[in-house]
Amino acid sequence: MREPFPDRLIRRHGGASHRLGLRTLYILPSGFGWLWLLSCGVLFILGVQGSSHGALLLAYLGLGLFLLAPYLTQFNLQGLELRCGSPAPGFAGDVLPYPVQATSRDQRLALGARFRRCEGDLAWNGSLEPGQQWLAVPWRPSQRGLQSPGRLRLQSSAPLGLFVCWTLWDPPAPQLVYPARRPGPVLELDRPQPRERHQAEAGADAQAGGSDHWRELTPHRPEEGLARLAWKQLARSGERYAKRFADPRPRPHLLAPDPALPRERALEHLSARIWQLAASGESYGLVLGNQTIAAGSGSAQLERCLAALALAAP
Amino acid sequence: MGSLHQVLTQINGVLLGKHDQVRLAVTCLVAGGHLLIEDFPGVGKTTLAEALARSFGLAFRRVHFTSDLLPADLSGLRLFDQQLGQFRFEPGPLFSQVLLADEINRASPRCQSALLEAMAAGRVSVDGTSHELPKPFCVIATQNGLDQAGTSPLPESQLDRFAMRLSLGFPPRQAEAALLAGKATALDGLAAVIAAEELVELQQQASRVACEPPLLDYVLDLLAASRQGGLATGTPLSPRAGCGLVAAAQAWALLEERSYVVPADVQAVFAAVAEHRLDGGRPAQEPGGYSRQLLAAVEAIR
Amino acid sequence: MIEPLARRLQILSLSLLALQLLGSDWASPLCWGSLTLVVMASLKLAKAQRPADLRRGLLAQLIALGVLAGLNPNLGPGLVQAATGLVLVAALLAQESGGGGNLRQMLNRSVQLLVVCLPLLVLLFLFIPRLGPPWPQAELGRGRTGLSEQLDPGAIAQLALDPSPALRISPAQEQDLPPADQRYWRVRVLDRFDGQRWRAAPAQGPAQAWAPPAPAPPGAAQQLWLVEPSPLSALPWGGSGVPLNPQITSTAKGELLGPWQTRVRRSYGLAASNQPPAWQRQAPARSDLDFAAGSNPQLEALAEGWRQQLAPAQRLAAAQALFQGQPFRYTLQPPPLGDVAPLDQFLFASRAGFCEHFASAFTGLMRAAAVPARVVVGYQGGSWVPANLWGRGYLEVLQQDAHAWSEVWLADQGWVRIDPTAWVAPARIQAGLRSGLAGQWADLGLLSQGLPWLRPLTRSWTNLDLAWNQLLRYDQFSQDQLMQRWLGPFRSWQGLVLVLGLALALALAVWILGLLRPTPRQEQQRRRLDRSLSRLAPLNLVPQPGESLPAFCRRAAAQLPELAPGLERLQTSYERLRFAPRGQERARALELARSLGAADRELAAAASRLGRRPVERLQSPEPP
Repeated sequence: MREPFPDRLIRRHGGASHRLGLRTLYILPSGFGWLWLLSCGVLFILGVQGSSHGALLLAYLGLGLFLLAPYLTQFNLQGLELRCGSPAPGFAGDVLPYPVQATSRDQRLALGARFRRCEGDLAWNGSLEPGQQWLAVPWRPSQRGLQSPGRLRLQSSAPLGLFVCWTLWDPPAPQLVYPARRPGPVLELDRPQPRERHQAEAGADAQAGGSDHWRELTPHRPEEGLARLAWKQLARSGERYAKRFADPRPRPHLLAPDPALPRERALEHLSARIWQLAASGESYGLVLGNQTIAAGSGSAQLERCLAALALAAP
Repeated sequence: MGSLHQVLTQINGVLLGKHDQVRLAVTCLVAGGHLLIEDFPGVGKTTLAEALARSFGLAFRRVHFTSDLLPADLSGLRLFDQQLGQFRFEPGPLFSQVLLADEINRASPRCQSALLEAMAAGRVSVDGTSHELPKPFCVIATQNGLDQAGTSPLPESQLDRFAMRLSLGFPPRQAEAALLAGKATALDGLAAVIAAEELVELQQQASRVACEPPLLDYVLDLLAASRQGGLATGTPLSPRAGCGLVAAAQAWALLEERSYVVPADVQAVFAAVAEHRLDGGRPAQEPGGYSRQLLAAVEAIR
Repeated sequence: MIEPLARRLQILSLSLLALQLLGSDWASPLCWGSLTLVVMASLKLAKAQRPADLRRGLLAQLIALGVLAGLNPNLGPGLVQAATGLVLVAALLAQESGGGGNLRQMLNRSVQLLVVCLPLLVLLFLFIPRLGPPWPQAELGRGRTGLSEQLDPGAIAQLALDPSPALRISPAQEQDLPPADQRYWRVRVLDRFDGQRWRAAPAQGPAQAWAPPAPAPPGAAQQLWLVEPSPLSALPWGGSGVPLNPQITSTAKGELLGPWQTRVRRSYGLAASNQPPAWQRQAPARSDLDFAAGSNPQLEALAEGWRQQLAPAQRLAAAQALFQGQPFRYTLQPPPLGDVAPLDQFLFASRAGFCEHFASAFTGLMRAAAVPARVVVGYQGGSWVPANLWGRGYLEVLQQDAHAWSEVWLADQGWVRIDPTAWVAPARIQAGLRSGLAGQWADLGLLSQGLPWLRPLTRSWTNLDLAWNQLLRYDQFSQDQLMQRWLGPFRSWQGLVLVLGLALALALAVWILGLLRPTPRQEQQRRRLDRSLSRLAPLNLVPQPGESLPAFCRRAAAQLPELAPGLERLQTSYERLRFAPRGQERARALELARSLGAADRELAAAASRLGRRPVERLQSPEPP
């Protein structure tokens, strides 16, 4: 996507921090500024034509403000320092905040920040108080992986709106973008396919056989008390066993991309499934090519799996 | 303020070579916060706690937390008094001015939360009646960070209730030599330097130490920096952490005999106040790593 | 997103505009134009969804304000207009500053902006070349009364008084002008009479060209004339002198014609000359005796008597005796004379009128009495405007000073000016219109007067208003004078001076705005500290990220012990000033500030001492 006219000509500024000064700020009259100038011209003609000094003075006042405005607008931005944060990961297709730290000693009015590549209304708008503040500039990545949001344009036309002053900066820190969540089929390894699973579950129920779900029997020790004694087995065999219980924990899901689908599509389905499993607190693992993530649960596991999806070879 | 210096001297006589930690511990008490001391066994955690309590002349009780400790063992019980023929409240060890909670991570989570509730509210509810705790009330908890077997580490939310976390570390060689030579004052020999009422007075005085807008800006910038994931920070600092930070800095300034807080005061207490909140129980690679990064990220010359 | 404060401010400015509209002259088409603009802006404001709507509404209001400023140029409306402009700028600020600040702050900021803009305004006002109006004036509803190509005394019932300036004559000093009763500035000669009205004969043959003016001796009196747009192409002049511009010619009747279109502002110079002007000796034509016989029988009868009995000079005296003997009255509201024999009606019945009546009747009488005569229209009088800010003194003649008089041909003297109005109302000629009307309440009402008790107040207001108008009188003419005086031979540098001046004024404005920026005292202290610390930068002593002031001072003092005392002082006084509550340290603030300054000097001295020494000891600071 080509950038609009003046920005195309401007050299790129990278670097982890970006200081707004004479070399990095650009300024042009805004559309309203041109209209304002036109109105001043109309007033001037009115004044000359009607020999009206009032209208002439008004025209000159407008011109004076117009001459003063670029300085005021530039001062609104000059000296501001932007620093790159470490952006939190997010999903492709979602609106992600990209953190930028702004340090300023003065108040900054009516700023707007947006990434050049982003469409329409995705922008951060607001004023800055003295001190350090974080701007969360929204953008919408379309692809997974370590993505850079591109060129940031920070602009302001305060206080008069006659000039627009802006800076362009390429924040270097990339943001980790997970594949978009799109529900769909994924391959579950090491797990019975639906019909077999049904049978297996039925068998498990039969095996439980009674009221208590014990997992195994071990020789009973006196200090274990009578509560754990397996009475049935005692009655049957005369030997004392203690019941060992276990949570009826489902077997972990071991997921892999569905080879029948296009690669990216399969990754998106995986992303949705992992998110869903994590939300329901189940445990899951991931097999991606020769990379395997053992089953687990919790937020660290989620992050690990999603990061693997994001960075998987195409 | 002279008396505070006496307190410092006295405790430093007991716990050799730990001037900074002692000063922070006293600061914590003057700020009215609860203190968590975390370190290996045998470096003097309990000694510090007890020396603090004795020097401030506070009535203290000591509870060794074990896995079978029940909440009622802390707060007290309603007993049926045979003679009076009615129920009577028997206050537990919570009803003291200083509670030394040894090995707090050994207790069950239920018991921990009962304690932390008392720490936050300053009162205890038993069977629907609420009982006010004495003033000043302060919990000095110790925790063994090394031995994790059979413990319930305090969750992040409860760590936040402690104003400061200190770790003592091994004493320097000279101090240890003095200790071995028996030059340390015995705990039993400690007399109260400050009365409990005086401590309340000092606490009020500390809360009046001035915090001018530039200083508050500094604190706010620190808090904001912790919340914006711009650095490898752990858990963001809560507003309670901010209040605790200001209170601790005020107390520190009081110890420095100043009537106003400067950023250096905030920096002095920051690691103790913020680190355990930042790491959320999972220590950084190097001790104090999170808070050091935060301090370096925010301009301190104001 | 539309800021509510901006909307409120625009409502305020709209109501101010409406107020001014109410007080405007509804006869002018401009007033309606500005009403349209205001209505459009109101609709835009009511329906505004986006900031762009608000901005366009604001521009419409700005233009409406300009139109109203043209309609009401006086001081009072001017003040209201200034207030409106202020509110408009505040509305703009409120919209563009992203919703920070309240009404008072916005107005405050707006005042600041306008004040710092004043030098720019003055420069632009003084230096931007003044242009004449590009289109005829009448379009703007400013048709000026005063002179016309013909004279029809019977038709005029009331003369409008137009106080706008008609022309200016700039001699060096007032003494160079003729005395007050001799200030007749001729424009047009009307020599055709049809019994009712006078008009000028069509030009016969080429106008007489002047001989190229003899080079004026150094110091010869020169007059500079500036004439406002008027419907007549002829130029006013005193009747004698040589135009400096060779394109200006004179007709045989003594009219001055220039190369310009009508209805533009004209300016020209006249050099004094010793010779009597040629037109004065130009013999009369036959038509100068034509009195449309039979149109005014009574007048003709009277003149016939004079013609038979008296010599030409005595006929003049007889006419003077007639005007002075009969109860003639000078008034601006004469009764209408009707279509039949209007001069008879005036001379023998109503006997009330103004200059045109007197001039017509007298000229008619003279022609009927066989004395060649004609009517001259032009201006009479004028008031001296002393040298002021804008330049040298000049005589100002207003449109209401338009006058008509007669000229008669006496064989031995040539054309002689006779002003019959002077016989009837000598004060009109001596001291202007107002005096001529003394005692006539109805007429004075036209030149409105206030209530007696209000008079002192009105008078001072009038003086202020006058001063304001004086100030605004700055036009092409004044600009010429001023530039001549300031730049002299470097007139062509006017543009350069303007650009340089603008740059200077801009720098000044930006500087002042920087000072006015809301920097609390604490920020000033902070800047002082920064300055002090920057003195150590050449010594490789720069605060580390996150390093506090005491820590930095300790580190610096450890590296360079010479700095220790200054740093210590700097740290303690700065921290006291900045972090101690004002209540406690207020009394000592001055002392502390002084101490901070002393520390700064100490540091500067130490740093410069150290800076001169070879710096092998200075390493880069270690990380904390």
